[in-house]
Amino acid sequence: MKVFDAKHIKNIVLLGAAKSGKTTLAETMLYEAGLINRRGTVENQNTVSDYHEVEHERGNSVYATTMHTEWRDYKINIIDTPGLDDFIGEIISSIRVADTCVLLINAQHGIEVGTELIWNYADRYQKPVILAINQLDHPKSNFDATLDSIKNRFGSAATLMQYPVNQGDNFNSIIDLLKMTMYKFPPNGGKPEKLPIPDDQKEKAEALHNELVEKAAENDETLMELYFEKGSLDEDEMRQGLKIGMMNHEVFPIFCMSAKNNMGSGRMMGFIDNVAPTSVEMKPEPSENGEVMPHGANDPTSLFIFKTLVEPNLGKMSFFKVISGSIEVGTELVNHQTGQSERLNQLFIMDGKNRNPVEKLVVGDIGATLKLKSTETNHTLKDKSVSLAVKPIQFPGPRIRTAIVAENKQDDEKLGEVLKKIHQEDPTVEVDYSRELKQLILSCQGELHLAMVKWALENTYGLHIDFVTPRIPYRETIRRAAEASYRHKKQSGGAGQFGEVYLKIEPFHEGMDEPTGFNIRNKDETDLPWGGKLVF
Amino acid sequence: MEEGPLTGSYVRDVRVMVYDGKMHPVDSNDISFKIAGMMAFKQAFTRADPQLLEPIYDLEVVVPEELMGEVMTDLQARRSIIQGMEARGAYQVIKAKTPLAELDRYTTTLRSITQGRANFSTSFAEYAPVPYDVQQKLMADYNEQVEEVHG
Ligand SMILES: Nc1nc2c(ncn2[C@@H]2O[C@H](COP(=O)(O)OP(=O)(O)O)[C@@H](O)[C@H]2O)c(=O)[nH]1
Ligand SMILES: [Mg+2]
Repeated sequence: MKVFDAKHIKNIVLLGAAKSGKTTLAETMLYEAGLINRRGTVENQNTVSDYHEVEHERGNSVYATTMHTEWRDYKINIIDTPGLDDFIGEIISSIRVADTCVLLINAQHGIEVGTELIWNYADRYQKPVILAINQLDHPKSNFDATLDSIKNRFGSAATLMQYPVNQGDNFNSIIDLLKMTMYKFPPNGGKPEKLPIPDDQKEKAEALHNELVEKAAENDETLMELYFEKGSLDEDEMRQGLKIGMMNHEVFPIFCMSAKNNMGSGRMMGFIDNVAPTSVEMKPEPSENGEVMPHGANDPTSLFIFKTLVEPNLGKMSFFKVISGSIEVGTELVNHQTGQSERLNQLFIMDGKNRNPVEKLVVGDIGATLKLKSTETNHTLKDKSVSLAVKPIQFPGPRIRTAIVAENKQDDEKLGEVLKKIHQEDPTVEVDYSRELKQLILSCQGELHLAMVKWALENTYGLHIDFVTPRIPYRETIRRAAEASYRHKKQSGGAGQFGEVYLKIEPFHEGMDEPTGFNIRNKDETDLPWGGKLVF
Repeated sequence: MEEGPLTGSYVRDVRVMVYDGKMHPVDSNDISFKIAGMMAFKQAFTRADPQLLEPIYDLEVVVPEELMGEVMTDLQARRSIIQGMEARGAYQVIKAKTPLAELDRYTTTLRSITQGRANFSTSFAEYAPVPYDVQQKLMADYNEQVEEVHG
């Protein structure tokens, strides 16, 4: 494995509604760069990204999957995410470690509900965004309507970099507004021919090119002056302006493609190489208490664990981003949260299920390791000299809760343990045994999420379970005073029992008068763990 | 008082005053008094106009404006009290107080009445009295359950 320095590593996350083509695009990006020599498809269940059995069964992504590709002199780490917000936990942690979000928009539908839901999270982190209009080869694709919906949603930040000359079945040409060239793809996609812009497109291309130049210029004063003097900007100046705009979350460049036919992804990768920022150019990670994490290549090492995966035959796999310094095989680090030391005996770059062993990873890179003892998602591993920990990812609270029971009573204990493991992998699955309700309560993000938990329990751990309606934690109280007495008597044979009690009860509220008419011998006030008070 | 007489739920906000007792020189012991006390408490409780309280949650639903009507109608059917509405971009945010008992599988309903275009979050707010008819039903259910167990 080639070692890349921090200036040549780009981390992107593929985001978008279900079925927009994220997994297919990841496959195409690996194929286009020659990292795989045949392209799998989601239908044939042989993509690099969707390698889990449950993903094959369902035909869509459930887990976020890390991969890498190499384009020209750069390494691009790609995280493919699920498109359904039931799996928002996987999506959020991926956004957190990526430096550029590539948001796919299906040219058949434009902005979808799923796009919106996921966008809200991307927007929260203010990361650079590229918009990729995909499926332009689809007979139902509609570029103009899609672009309208994009402009509607994102306003003037949406910045057209390209437009298709034709679409649907005939889709094979794109006009690039930065390079002012037409790319024409061979029938099977891949490397395009570079052609001059045809006469009938010149006027449109010129107008859009000028818009792009203005957009690039408006992010920086020097560029604005240059533009004012020359009336135009050259390619490098435009890249510089676009980069500043992207980093300020004010320019979202739009690319055109067909992931399925391998058309257009190479140009976008070139743009990611040349324009999208590296980790070291981005604002440094905040620490838990709002300070700035060390972030230099020569700073002492710190790693942030953003994802944990428990693979049945491999054990626990921890995915991390190098926040500062570098990490070599065999290094011992300290877990900030647990205080335990952890030796990283193996380092990998992951391509789906394939583990590529590496000796070293530098700041900004993303990798994985196996068999950490006490380390979980959101923990920081660090050199002893680092005193800070990375601010943890905030996962959303649960949206659905259910009680869960093992079909076989003997499995109860195992069920509790396995659910704890599942929680480690996916912090948006929460488990809690309620003593009050006498039920094991599972909370998560939605019906589909529940179905996945059930799937994992059955297929990975051989546990059969039922979901039942959780009981409601009612409370009982009284609204007026009452008296009663009871005589308990059992005096037939053996040691007898006898007791008689007279008592009065009344509604209790804070600050009420002491009882009158009694001699108080003894007073006992108990704060109840479930709220309220009991006073004897 | 871990199991109240109405539904077996926790009891709260009750003052108990034991003002008299009788002992037997030989046969009285701790357990005898505990049993007598428990039975007396149950009797007094049922005479003291007992009230069941239920957990109420703050609910926030974010929904596209044109679908607000559907969501409101559904919320009202769930014994919710609407606290207010405000615009957030192209969305409306509805704030309501809803009993937990009415929130079972709300994700599914909300998804189907809005084609997946709404989102919501909840957090515990307070305990409030259960309406009379609901309380009667819950108590009847509980008695049935107890009888089943004791054969
Ligand atoms: N026509 C067409 N179909 C595509 C394209 N990209 C993906 N698809 C198809 O869309 C479906 C969903 O693709 P997938 O990559 O799983 O989407 P994801 O859910 O975003 O990961 C699959 O049937 C793909 O073959 C494309 O560029 N053109
Ligand atoms: Mg996918």
